[in-house]
Amino acid sequence: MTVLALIGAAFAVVAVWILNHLLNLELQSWLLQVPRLILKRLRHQVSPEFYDECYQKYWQPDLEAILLDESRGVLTRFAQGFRHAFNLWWTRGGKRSAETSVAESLRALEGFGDLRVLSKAKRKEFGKVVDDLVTALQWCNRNLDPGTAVQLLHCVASVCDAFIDDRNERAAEYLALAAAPLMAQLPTDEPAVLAMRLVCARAQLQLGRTEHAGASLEALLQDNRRVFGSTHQETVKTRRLLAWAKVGEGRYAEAEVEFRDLLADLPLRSSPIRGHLECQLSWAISGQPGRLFQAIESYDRVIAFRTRELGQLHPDTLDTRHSKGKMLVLHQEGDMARRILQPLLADRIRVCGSQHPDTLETRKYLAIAIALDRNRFSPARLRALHRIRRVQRAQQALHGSDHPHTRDTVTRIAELESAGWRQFAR
Amino acid sequence: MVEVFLEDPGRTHFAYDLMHASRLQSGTIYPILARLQACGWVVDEAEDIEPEVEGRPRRRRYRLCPTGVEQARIALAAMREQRRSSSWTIGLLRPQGDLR
Repeated sequence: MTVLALIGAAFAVVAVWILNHLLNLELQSWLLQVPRLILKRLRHQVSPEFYDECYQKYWQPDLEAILLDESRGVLTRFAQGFRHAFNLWWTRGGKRSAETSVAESLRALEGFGDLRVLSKAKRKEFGKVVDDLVTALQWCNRNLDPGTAVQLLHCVASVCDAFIDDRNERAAEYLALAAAPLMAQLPTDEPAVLAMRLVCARAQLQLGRTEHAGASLEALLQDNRRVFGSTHQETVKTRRLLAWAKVGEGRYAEAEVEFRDLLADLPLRSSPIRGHLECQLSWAISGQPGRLFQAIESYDRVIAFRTRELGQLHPDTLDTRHSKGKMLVLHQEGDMARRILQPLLADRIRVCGSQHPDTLETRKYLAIAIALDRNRFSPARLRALHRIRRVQRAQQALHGSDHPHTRDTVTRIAELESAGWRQFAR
Repeated sequence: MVEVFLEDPGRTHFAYDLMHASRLQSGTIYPILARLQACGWVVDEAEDIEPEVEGRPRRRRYRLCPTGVEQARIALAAMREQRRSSSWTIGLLRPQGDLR
C-alpha cells in the first residue's frame, strides 16, 4: 500500500513537473510572440512598400536574433525584443518622427519673427524649436516625401537667415551642416537647395571667409540666373552679397558700381532689399578716399528711409545708425560718432538686450569714439579701454576667438594701446 | 553613432549593437543608418549564416566605407572644433543666460 502510494506520489510529482514545464514553454512562446505581433501591427501604420522593404531586410531579422538568442534568459529576450518592436511601432519605423517632426517644427516656427528683438523667454522657446528642427533633420531618410523635404529645407534656410541676422552665424552653419544630406537628396536646381546655398555663402561672408564666400556666390549667381532669371529676388540677393564680398576685399569702387546697378534695377521704391542695398552702398562710398561727407549724406537718407518704412527702433534702422557711427569712428571723427552711438547704445539695450552681439559692437565703437580725442593717459580713455576689454571677453564667450567681431576688437585694443590714432586702420 | 563606427573603422556592426553602444532606440537607429547609407558613408552586407540552420533570417551588418571614414572624421573634427570655439553648438542653440 505504502509502495503504491509512493509510486502514485512520484507520478504526481513528475506529472506536475511536466505540466509546469509545458506551461512554461507555452508561456515563453506566447511571451516571445508579443514583440513579433507588435512589429506586424506596424504594417498598418506605414506604406506597404516601406514596410515590405524594411520589415524583411532589417526589422524582422534583428528582432528574431534578439528573441532567439539562447545566451539570454526569456525575460531579458522579451524585454529587449519588446523595446525594439515597440519603439519601431511608436515611431512608425522612424517615419512618424520624420513627418510629424517636420510638420511640428514648421508649425512651431511660425510664431517667431526677428530673433534680434525676442525676449529671453521667447529665445529659449526658439532654441527648443530649433532643437526639434535638428531632430527632424536627423530623422529624415530617403523615404521622406520630396514635397516635405523641400518644405523642410526652405524652413531651414529661413531659420539660418534669422540666425545670421542675429549675428549667430555658427548656429546657421551648424543647421546647414545638419541639412546637408537632405540637400544632397534633392535636384541641384531645386529653389530650396539654391536658398540653402545662399545662406551658407552669407554665413561664410559674415564670418570673414570672403574668398570662399565669393567663389560660392559666383557659382550660385550663375545657377540663380539659369533657374530664376536675372531680375528675380533670389538673383538680386546673390548679387548683393557678391558686391558685399567685394567690399570685404577692399574693392569699394567696384562694389559701389554693383550696388548702384542693383538699386537701378529694383522694381519697387519700397522693396525690402532697398534698405540693405543703400546701407551697403553708403559703406562702399565711405571706403573711398575723400568721400566721407557723401557717405554721411547717403547714410542719413537710409536712416530716414528705414525710420519711415520700418520704424525708429527697428533693428535694421539701428544697424544703419550703428554703421554710420562706426564709419565716423574709423574716419577718426570721435565727436560726431559719439553723438550717434551714445543714444544708439541705449536703444540697442532696450530693443536687443545688453549682451546681444549688436549691442556689444555698438558699446565697443562708442568706447573707441570716447577714447579717440583723449590724451593717451586720460582717465576717460583708460575707462574706455577697460570697457572695450569687457566687450572682448563677452564676444569671446559668445562667438569664440576667431569670429570677425572678436578679432576686430582685439585689433582695436592693440591699436589703442599702441602709438596713436594716425595708425588706426579701417 | 558615427563615433561608434570610428572606434574601429574596419569593424562591422549589427543594428542592435549600435543601439547599445550609442544608446539610441530602434526607431532612431534605422533612419540614421538609412541616411548614412544614402550619403555613401556606410555600406551594409548580409550576415554570414545559414538561415535554415540558425532558424532565423540573415541580419544586416554595417561598416564605414573608406570615403565614409574620411568624411566622418572631418565632420567630427569640425563639430568638435565648433564646440570648442563657440558657445552656440548642438545642444546649445538656446540663448545665453544673460541675454535679455
